[in-house]
Amino acid sequence: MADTHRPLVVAEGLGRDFGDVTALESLDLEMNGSEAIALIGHNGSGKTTALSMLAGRLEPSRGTVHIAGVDVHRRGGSDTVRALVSFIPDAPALYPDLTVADHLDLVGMAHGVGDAEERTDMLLDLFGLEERRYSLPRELSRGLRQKTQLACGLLRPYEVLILDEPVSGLDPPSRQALHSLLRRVKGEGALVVFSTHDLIFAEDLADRIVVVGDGRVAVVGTRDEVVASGQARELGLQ
Amino acid sequence: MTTEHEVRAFVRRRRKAHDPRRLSDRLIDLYTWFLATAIAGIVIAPLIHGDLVPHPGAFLDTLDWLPVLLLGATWAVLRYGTWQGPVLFTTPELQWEVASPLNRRRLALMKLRRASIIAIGVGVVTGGLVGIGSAAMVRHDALGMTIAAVSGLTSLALLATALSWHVERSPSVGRVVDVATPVVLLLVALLAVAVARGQSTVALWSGPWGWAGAPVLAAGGRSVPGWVVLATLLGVAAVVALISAIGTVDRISYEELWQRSEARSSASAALFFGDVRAAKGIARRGRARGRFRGRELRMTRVATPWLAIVTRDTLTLRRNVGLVVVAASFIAAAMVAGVAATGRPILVAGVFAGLYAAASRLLETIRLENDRPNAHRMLPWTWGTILVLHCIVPTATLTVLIWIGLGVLGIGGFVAQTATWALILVAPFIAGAVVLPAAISASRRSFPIETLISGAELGALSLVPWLLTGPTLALIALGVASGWIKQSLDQGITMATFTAIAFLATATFAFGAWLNSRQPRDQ
Repeated sequence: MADTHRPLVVAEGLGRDFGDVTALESLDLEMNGSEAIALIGHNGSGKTTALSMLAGRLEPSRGTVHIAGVDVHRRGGSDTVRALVSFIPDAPALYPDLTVADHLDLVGMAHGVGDAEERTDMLLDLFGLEERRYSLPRELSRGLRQKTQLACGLLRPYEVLILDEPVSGLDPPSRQALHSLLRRVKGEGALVVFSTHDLIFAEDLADRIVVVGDGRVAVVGTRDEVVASGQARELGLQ
Repeated sequence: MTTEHEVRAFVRRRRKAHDPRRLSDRLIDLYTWFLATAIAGIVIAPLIHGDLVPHPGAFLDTLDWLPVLLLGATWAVLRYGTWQGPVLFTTPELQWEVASPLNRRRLALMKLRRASIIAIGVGVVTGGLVGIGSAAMVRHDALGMTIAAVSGLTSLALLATALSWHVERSPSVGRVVDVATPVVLLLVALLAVAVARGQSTVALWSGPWGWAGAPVLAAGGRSVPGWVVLATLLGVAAVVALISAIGTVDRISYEELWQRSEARSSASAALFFGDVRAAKGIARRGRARGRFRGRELRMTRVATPWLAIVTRDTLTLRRNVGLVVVAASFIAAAMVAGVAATGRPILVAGVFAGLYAAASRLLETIRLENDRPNAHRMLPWTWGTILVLHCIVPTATLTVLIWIGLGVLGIGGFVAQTATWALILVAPFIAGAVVLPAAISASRRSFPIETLISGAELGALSLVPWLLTGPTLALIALGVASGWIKQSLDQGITMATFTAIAFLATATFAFGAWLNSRQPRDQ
């Protein structure tokens, strides 16, 4: 069980270079349960890099990430990440020969989800995938594949939910449904970290907003603090 | 708690349930295997009777080359580990299995076990073929030779697989393999020289590749001192390497596995469409692991849009200097063939082959269009005009290479001074008459592999006109020009030169007009 007195996720001086290109210079952030944090910024500003490092998917060039007090990039840290973090990337990664229901069954099985059947039905209903339950990925549009991936990522147990561009490709009803679900998830004690270009979605859901520009964290704060700083306006994000 | 085996079994079961293949598809698979086995049997049967080898004893000497071949094969497996390797997951497996609380070590072990089984299969099949084939040739203890070959090659395959894992998991070991490749090629050459000079013992003791060959030679009746020691060494090395691989099988980052998975799917897609060059590029980038980002050459602003493609092609050649180097070596070969052709007309074919091969290398720049047939819509010209524009830089470069070659020959006294000057004047037109036909052949999309094997669009036959059009046109142009030069030489070298220029310029113009009329295949 996570220690309630310390932040759930701590990123210190987190940065990543690809060759001589700095994708993210340095991210310092403490994040707690029952909190939603939005990363906003232009394409290529370093949002996905930051989220991938927080989720233990990408090795940092510098800095550390601690989740529940464990350095996730040290040996053994991946166990903590896999147990506590659900990461949903923006590009759907689905088995070409498994149906939507198969994917959810697999996730339920791999994560030992006790009430997998009920939760599967709930998520399929939420994303309007009920009628596509037995469809293969090649029979789905990109948006439906994205919904399948979201449903899988939300089915498993987690304390930290990291979503990369979760609303891109979603229709308005699904966007609204996801918004409500993430709000509920947050209310139940999970930390929700997501990147988005949808500023309204970010404003409505996030307790804090991290504005990233050219690999640098421009400002971190509540919506009002970000607006007051003028940094978001400078980056053309307001 | 669910185990990794249960999850894998679940995935396999569900996949099988959605497998669209019907009974007839499976019967076709079965028939294909039967056919392949029958053909292999027909080929091997006469060998077993030993009638094809008039001097069976001499065949044993060819087995001396086994270590050289095995060194090459072993190094190829290690290089495979620099961008792929034995522990490979697909992207969905990484997302939904490796990133779950399932035991990652056990998941990786399943992959390593699968790779080891494949290695054993390869060792048994190749060892069986080498053993049975060799025993038939030398008419010696078939069982002994087969056992020796199978055990040797299987041990070596397992050793290479285990070492390939260490290359995969460790970027520093990967870098060593990458950097050491030229040294290994030199070692292969040195071993080849040693074997050619009858010093096969050196090759046998040079490393595991030799250790694997020693028991085969010994079983064939050759006196190989210490072969038991070598065979034991190989077995021990394979076991130690495998134990070490099993012990470290989870020591690889998720990021590394993800990159390899993405490289694999990209390379598979490229190979599916028969685009071997693209697959090679993916492998090269995978090996680089972000260390080399290519030369930082950027396209400069051009004064007129007509220079855009010329500038871009120049940039492509500057970024890929290897293309120019290879083209230069083809031109050098053509020049050597040309000098040696006096009295040996067959070598004239070498001159043509060298010129055409050089043009083909330099025309790699045209792939910018071929790989993205719809991209031309962003440009203010037709597809055909773009192709013609792409011929400018290769023609100019080929001309310069020919000039350099002629200069060297002229200075060296291999070609008379007057003839050298005449050829220097004709060179741009020779280059044009070779480059434009090559562009006609090159202006196609990647050839889908299913077309090749299925018989759609005439299957492999549709490749024939595509392959032959370019060289045939270039051959006709240069052949007719040569004939006219010979006829015009009576009227002096100047007349012959201008006759050749006039003809080649006309031919080049005609090829350009044809190229200009071509349409992209997607339209």
